[in-house]
Amino acid sequence: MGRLIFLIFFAVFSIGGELDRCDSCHLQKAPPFNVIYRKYLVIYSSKRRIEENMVNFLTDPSKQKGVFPKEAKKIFFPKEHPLYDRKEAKEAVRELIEREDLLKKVRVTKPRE
Amino acid sequence: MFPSEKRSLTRFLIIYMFSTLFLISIGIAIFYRYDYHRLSDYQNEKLKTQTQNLIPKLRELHKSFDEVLYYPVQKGLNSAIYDIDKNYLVGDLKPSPYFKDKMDKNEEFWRDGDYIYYLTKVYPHYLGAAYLISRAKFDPSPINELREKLALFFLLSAIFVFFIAYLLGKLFLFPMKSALSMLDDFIKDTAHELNTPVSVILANTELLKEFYPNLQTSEELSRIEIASKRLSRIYDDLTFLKLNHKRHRNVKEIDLSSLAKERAAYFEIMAKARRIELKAKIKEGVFLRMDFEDAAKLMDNLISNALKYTKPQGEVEIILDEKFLIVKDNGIGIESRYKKFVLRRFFRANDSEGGFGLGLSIVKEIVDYYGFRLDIESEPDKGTKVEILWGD
Ligand code: HEC
Repeated sequence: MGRLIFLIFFAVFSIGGELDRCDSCHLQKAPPFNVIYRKYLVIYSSKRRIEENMVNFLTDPSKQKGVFPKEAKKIFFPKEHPLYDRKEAKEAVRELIEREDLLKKVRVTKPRE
Repeated sequence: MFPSEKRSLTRFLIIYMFSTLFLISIGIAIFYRYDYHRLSDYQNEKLKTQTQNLIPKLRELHKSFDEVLYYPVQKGLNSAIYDIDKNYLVGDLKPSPYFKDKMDKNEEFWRDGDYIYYLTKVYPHYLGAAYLISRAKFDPSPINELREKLALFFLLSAIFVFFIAYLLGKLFLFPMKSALSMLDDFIKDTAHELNTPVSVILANTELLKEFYPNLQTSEELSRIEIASKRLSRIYDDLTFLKLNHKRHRNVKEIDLSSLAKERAAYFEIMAKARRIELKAKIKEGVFLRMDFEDAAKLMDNLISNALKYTKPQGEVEIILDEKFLIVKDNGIGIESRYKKFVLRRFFRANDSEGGFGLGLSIVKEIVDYYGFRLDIESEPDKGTKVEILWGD
């Protein structure tokens, strides 16, 4: 019985996903994902390129200088961003993109006056 | 108006009108192209501004944290956005497979069916948009209006050019016309002056034969008679052609058989004098609706032509049947290079024979008037066969 509860708990936890571990920071001190996503979107346009660049940022910061201005970062977030391995990062980023996708909110009809 | 004058005038008109209108058309075509571009550029520019106005709205959407974002839908305009990998994102313009090609080539404007399309790049990529494609209905009315205007202009200038050409033609042809009418008057007067003495000669030879019966067989007298008959026929021909159009034709059933016999007999003396055998195969009772004088002219001209161009010991044959008249000789024939001229007035292939070259042109006029068919078969040194067919 205890094992079963543990399994269910584990399953739910893993469905909740990789993003949960990011949320600890990103829901509080760090910039929220909807802001980050909009920043990436306006620069990289396609989901393929957003994913590629976010993953690079999380796995190998030398490849990717990030979307926030360096000076601002030094002042507000002096700590280095935690690193992740490629697999973890990819999953988290995919979830992030899925959740923040702006186009899902777009309607192609005129708003009712 | 003389036929030759008419011909020259129409040729002049055709060449003049054709060349002038050709130049005018080139001018019109250049103007059309230029104005067409101006008009479509105007519509392109309009579409471009409308489309550029969408971009700030995309920016607003991008910045907004509302639950629902409304894509900017505008009246008379459809648009859609594409990401940097040329994937369709969203919009009220359905994606078309060939749009990718346009994005590859970075084409700004194009036409497809009734629409004009505009493609622009978007940066920063609000909502992820890297390309924005829009379309609006192409309004053909200014271009149709332009076409109508140009067609009207062409028509008016054609009329104008025609009048100018006609006046010019008349002006240039005036000297020719007066020369021709002088010639015509001259012929008429001369012919008229000839007629009285010829009739006097003919009447007096008849009288001589009656008063002195031994002169009946005089060869000298019959030569005088033949010569004056020929003169009198030339007179007839000239007046026929000259007054042709004013003459009243009395068309009724006439007895061609007896007319043919009479004409054959009339030419018998001439044929004998030239030692030509004149044969006549004439079917009895052939009737035809025709003016009597026309019929006589027709036969006279055919027979006298045949006699004129046949050498002594030759043979001339007249055949009349229900549906045709044939006059055939074994004379000098017509060389093929002259064939197309023989029906023209004043044409003579051979100056050694007398005459004005009116014979066959008279035949042609009569045949055309009645809608008969005229066939001329001829071979040099073998002879000529002229066939006139009526009935179908
Ligand atoms: C220790 C707290 C912390 C955790 C955990 C964390 N982040 Fe961050 N993250 C930050 C801070 C602070 C910034 C802003 C400073 C910067 O850009 O480095 C940031 C920035 C980002 C950026 C923007 C980078 C850029 O281009 O400037 C992305 C993307 C991001 N985080 C993704 C993630 C993801 C995905 C996870 C989970 C797998 C995650 N973060 C976990 C703190 C954290």
